[in-house]
Amino acid sequence: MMKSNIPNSTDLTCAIKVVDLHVDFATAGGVLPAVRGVSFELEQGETLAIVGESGSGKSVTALSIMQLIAKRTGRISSGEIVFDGQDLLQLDEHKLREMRGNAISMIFQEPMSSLNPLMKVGHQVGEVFRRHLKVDRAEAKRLSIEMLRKVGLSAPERRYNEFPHQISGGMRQRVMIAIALACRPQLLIADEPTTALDVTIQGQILDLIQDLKSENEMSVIIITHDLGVVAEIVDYVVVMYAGQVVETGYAREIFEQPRHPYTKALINAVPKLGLRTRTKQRTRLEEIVGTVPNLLALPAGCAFCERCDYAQEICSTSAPSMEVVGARRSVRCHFDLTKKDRHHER
Amino acid sequence: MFAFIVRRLLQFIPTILGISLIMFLLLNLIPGNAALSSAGRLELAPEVVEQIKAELGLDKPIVQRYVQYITRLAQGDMGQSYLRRYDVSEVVFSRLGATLKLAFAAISIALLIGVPLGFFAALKQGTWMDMLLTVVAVGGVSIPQFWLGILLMYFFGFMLHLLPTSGYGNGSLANLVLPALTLGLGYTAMLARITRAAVIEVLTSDYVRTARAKGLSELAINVRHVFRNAFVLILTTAGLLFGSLIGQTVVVERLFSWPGIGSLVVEAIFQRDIPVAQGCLLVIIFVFLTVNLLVDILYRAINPQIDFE
Repeated sequence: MMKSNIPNSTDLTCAIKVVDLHVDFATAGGVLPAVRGVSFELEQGETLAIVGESGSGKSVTALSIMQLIAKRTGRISSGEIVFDGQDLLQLDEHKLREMRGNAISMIFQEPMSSLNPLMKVGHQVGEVFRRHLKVDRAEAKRLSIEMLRKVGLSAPERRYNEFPHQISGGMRQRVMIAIALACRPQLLIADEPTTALDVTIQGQILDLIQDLKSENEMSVIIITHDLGVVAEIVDYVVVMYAGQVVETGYAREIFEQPRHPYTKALINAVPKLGLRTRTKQRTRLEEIVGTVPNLLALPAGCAFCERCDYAQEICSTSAPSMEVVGARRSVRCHFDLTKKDRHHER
Repeated sequence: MFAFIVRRLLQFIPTILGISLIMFLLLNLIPGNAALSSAGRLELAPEVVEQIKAELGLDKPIVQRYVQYITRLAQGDMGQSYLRRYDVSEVVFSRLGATLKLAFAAISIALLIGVPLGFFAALKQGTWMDMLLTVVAVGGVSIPQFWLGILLMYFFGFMLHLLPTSGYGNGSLANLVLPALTLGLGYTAMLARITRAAVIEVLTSDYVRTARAKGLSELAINVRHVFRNAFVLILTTAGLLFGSLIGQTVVVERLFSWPGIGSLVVEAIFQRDIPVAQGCLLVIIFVFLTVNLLVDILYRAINPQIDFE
C-alpha cells in the first residue's frame, strides 16, 4: 500500500531505526490498527520528538520499542526495530529484559502513578542497579543515592528512605529519570515527560534530560502533543496522525516551513506569549477543528482529509504515500504546502 | 503505633456498651422465658412459675435488670445460667477456644488457597483456567454452608469413612477438617475473587509498567510490585469478611456438634437462657472487634501511605 522511502544511512551513526511498524489492538469493535506502517530513524546523540494528538499512535510506537504493549490486547503485527545491529522484535523475552532499563530506558507521563507507592524511592532506583549491574545491597544504595543527587534531589540520603507520596510530582519525575538513567542507556524514551507537571517544573525536567543526555552521550525520543514544549531541545521531528507518520524533518525546517497541513495546524495551535497592544490585535489561538478519525473505520483517502483546510477531491478517494522531499525530510500529502501552485486554499 | 492500639482498645468500651444495650433489649423482648422453658412440657401451676421467675429476678422491671447486668459486667461477672447452676463467664470462655480454633483454621484455608488461586487466575486472565476458576469460585460463594457441610459429611465421612462426621474428638485434627472446610470454602472462593480483581487492577497500573521497563523478571515484578500492592486492596475487603466469619461459626458449629460458642448461643437462645446468650454474643462481638483491629494494624504496617494517626 504505502512504501517507506526513508533514506538509508549507515548503521554506525544510527541509534535506532523503526521500519514499517504495524501494531494492532483487539477491541470490542474489532481490530484497531493503532500504528500503521511507521518508519523513522534516529541518529546517535540526537533528540527526536514524536508529535501528534491523543490517539495518533505515538505512545504505542514508543511502547513498541520497549515491547511493553499489553500482550492481552495489543500485538506488533509486522515491522522491524533495529537497535545496536539487531531487530528488537526478534529478541526473546530474556534478551529483552536484559535490554530494558539498561540499554534502552523509558520514563512515563504520570510521575504520580508510575512509582510503586509501597516502596521507598531509593529502593526503586536501587532495583535497577541490582538487576543489571548485579551489585550487592550496599553498593546499590550508594549508587542510588549518587543517582538521586545527579537528578537534582536535595538531601538524597534522606530522600532515599522516603515513599513516593512524601515527595512532590516534580521530584517523582526526577526519581523516574534516575531510574531510567541509572545504567547509562544508549536510548531514552520519554513519553510525555512533562505533561502532568507545573509549567515551571516542565522546563526544569527538560533541562535535566538535556544535561544528562550530553553527559551520557545518549539519544532521546520525546513523545509529546505539545510542539511548543519541546521546540528548543529537539533536533528531529516525526509528526504522526491516525497511526501514520505524516511528516518528518529537522526541527528547524519543520517549524519554519511545515509541508503537511496537519503539521502547520499543530504549530499554529501552540500559544505564543505576547502582550496585546493598541496597534497589535491579540491573535486568536487556532484550534484544529474536528477530531481524529475512528481507527476502526478509516476513510478510504487521506486520514486528515475531513479536517484539512486544503483538501481537494483526490484527498477523499486516494491515500497519499510518503514522499521524500529532502535530506531526512519526507511528507505524506498530495499537496505539499511549499508547492504553492499545486493547491488552492479552500 | 502503641498509642493507636490503646486508642482503638478504648473505643471498644462505648461500642460494647451500645451493643450490649441492644442485645439486652432484644433478648429480653423475645416471647417466652426461662421459667417456662425449664418447666418443659410439665404443666406447672402458675404459682410455681411465678416463684421461679422471682428466683431468677425476672419479675423486676427491665431497666433495673439492665442496670444490674451492666454493673456486674463491669466487675467481670457475666451472671449465672438460668437453667444450670454455673457461671456464664466460665462456660463461655471454656468454649471460646474451640471456636477460635475453627475460625483460625477456616481463615487459614481461605488465605492459603484463595489468595494463590486468585493470583493465578489473574495472571492467566481470559484463559480457560481463569474461566474454570471463576465458575468454581462463583459456585463456592453460592453454596449454603449447611448444605456444603452435609455434602462433605456424606462423602468424606459416610462414603469414604475418611473423617469423623461430627464432634470435637478431644481436639484431634481429623475432627477439625470437615467443619473448617465447610466454614472456609465459601470464604476461599470470595477471597479468590477479591484477589483476582485486585491483582488485575494492579497489573494494569503504571508502576507495574515501570517495573517492566526496568527489565525486572516476572517473578521480581510479581513479588515486589504486584503482590504487595494487591494485598493492600485484598486486606481492605478481607478484613470485613473475617469479622463476619466469626458470626458464621454459629451455623457450622451447630451442624458439626462443635463445642464452641456458636452452638452454645443457639442452645441458649432456644432455652431462653438469656445470661448465657448474652455472654456468648458479647464474646463474639469482642472477637469481631479484635479481628478488625488486627486487620487495621496490619493494613497500616504494610501501607506507608497511612500512618498511625
